[in-house]
Amino acid sequence: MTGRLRVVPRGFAGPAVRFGVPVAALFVALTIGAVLLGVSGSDPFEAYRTMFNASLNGWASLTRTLALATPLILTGLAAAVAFQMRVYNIGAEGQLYLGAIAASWIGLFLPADIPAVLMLAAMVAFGAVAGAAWAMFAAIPKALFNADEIITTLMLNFVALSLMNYLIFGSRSFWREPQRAFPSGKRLPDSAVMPELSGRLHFGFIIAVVCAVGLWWVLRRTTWGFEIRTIGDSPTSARYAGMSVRMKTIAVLGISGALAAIAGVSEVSGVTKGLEPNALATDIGYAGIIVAVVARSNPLGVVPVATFLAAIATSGSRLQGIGIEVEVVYLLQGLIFLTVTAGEFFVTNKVELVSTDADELPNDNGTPGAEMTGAK
Amino acid sequence: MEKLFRSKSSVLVSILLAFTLIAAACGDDDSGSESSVSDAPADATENDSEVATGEDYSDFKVVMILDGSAEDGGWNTTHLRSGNRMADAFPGIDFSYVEAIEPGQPATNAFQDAVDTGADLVIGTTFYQFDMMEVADENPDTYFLTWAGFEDQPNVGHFSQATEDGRYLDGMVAGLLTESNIIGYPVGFPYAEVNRGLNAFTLGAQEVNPDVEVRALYLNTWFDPAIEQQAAEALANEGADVIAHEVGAQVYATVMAERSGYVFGYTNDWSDFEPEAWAGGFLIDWSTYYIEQVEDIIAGEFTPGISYGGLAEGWIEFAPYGPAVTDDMLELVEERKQQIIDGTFDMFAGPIFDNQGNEVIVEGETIPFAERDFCCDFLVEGIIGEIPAT
Repeated sequence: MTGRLRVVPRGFAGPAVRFGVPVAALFVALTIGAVLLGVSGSDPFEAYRTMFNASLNGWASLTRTLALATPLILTGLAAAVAFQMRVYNIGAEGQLYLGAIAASWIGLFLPADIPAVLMLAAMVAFGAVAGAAWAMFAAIPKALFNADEIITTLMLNFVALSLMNYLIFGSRSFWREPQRAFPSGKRLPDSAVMPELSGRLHFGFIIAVVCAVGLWWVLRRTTWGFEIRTIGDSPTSARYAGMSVRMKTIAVLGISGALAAIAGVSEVSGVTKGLEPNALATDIGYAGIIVAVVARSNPLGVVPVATFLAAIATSGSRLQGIGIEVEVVYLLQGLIFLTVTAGEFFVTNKVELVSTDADELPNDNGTPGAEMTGAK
Repeated sequence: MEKLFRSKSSVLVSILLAFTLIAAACGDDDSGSESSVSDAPADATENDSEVATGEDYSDFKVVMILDGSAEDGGWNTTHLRSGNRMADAFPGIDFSYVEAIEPGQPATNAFQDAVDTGADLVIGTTFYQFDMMEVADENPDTYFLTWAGFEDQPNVGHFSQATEDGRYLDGMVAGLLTESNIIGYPVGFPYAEVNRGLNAFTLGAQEVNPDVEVRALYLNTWFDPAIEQQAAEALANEGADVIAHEVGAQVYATVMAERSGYVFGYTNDWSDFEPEAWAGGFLIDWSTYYIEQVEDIIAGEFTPGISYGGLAEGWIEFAPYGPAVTDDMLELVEERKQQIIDGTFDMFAGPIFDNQGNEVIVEGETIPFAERDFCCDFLVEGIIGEIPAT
């Protein structure tokens, strides 16, 4: 019998599919990875045990994974909110720097003995405003002249990086410790440091999760959020329905910039505790784009995806520690992340074998699925 | 200083990004292809236990944490070379390294991992101090060394190197080699060590050639071959026939080779690359420092604090000189070198004027060796250029 494999969207994915597919994908990834490790002369079981121990096994590893996930959640949300409206903010990296610069300015400028609650609130607020303001350099040209925000936000990242480098390496700015051989940022006072939750996990994680839930609520439960998603689906019909696309472009990029900037606040206040360009410029903003794409711009999906990415990334130095070369570590990390996220395809789609007769029937769900011939 | 900003874990991120944006979940994953050309040297983890001195250091574990690739041909290669020399001095010692560790959370985690896997000594090779201090505080039985740090902690040592010793002697060679009397000197960011090296180099060149001028260019980057290429060409067009630098790329050698000029290296031996243009260059060797620290830790006599070393301490050495450098030139250099080691020559002895005409070091005074790490916020007379707005 001749047949075809046809990919069709699943109407509803039951729990067996929702959990079974990622587990199967992980199994596939680990199997391919085992071959890779074996070929490169390492013991796959030792490698996987090391990865698991470093990232998820026990409270200490878990908190370390969550600490690494914290800024990724926020930059993931920054990308997600913009993607909901089909606005592509590639500028989270630069907005993050602006958040860190603004927050550390507040932390150093306000008297060190004011209550930590006030200090931290001021840092978050001021950082968010700075990030949103930075995003305006892309948002306003986009709203007024439809300037391509992918280009503008991306270019602004380099401007922001130069600004941050200038403040510490290129000048004797307010942020810089004056009496040091190697340029570094002034230390923030204790009141400007995020309280620790456990180990190195700090209060920034709570902020990130609250932002995720808050953003989900705004997008799913408010008229404003509905309008954003409508514009994303069809700007023309949104305009026809009387929605102001311009104002929403500005608002969405502002919110996106603010969220990315809060990631910067969280890093500078919870991790580096001073404006340290080298520790802040680690591509967290770019990684957030991946997180958002994989989470399909769903704010609640961003949290587990960011945590998953962090869990994979955090095992790097341990894997090197058992003698696996850094290139193989990257390969393995990329492989696991890609395979598991690609497996998502099978959660939302199913592959069916159809007979050639059935193929002649009209496609009843209207959306043409990708079709592959085969299965003779 | 090319040591930072070459975040290799961003390879993962950028490749993933490319893949995801193209939405190509098909095809094979080669996220490591850019960096996978090199095989990590196996000799880093194994040492000749054949050096039978009767002593065995297999109980002692040292982990080195590098911020970039161990084979970057620059900063990290220099550190690993020093680490391997240290390991050679202690038969059986367990020496390993992890590479491409960015400052911030990844560095903190790497230091913690080193402690958790039983390290007795962890060496951080870039400005990791703030990522490391908490781990050092929580693990008082482990010792930590970190480059350019300063905070007090009983189990932490800091180190930085007197590059001015090497720069001065490179400057002498450059002053003798130049025919146009114009030397180009592109640097990264304007901070103490960079300015100090620039000053020492210029003073060395002026000693042998009073007419020489050094054209400084601050590029505000650690590593950017495109900008560095432009800088090299601009300097050559201004008449520079010798280039020394403190940035990252090899473009200076290419440009100087095209124009029959000469180039000095920075902390690494690149004499194989455009050998005709290669003049020479100082190297940094931290192994004497590392060896002392390991000995002190084993003897229970570790001293925390800042260490600063140059020629006399054995921290500065030289790559082979190029074909253009004659024996007569080397004789002069050797003499000065010996005097620096003996302490009978002081390159910063006043009077020294800056290039604004101010007397920055008066007659009879100097910058004491121990304070040089914080010098300089001026450029000496003879340097064309200024420190960007401070």
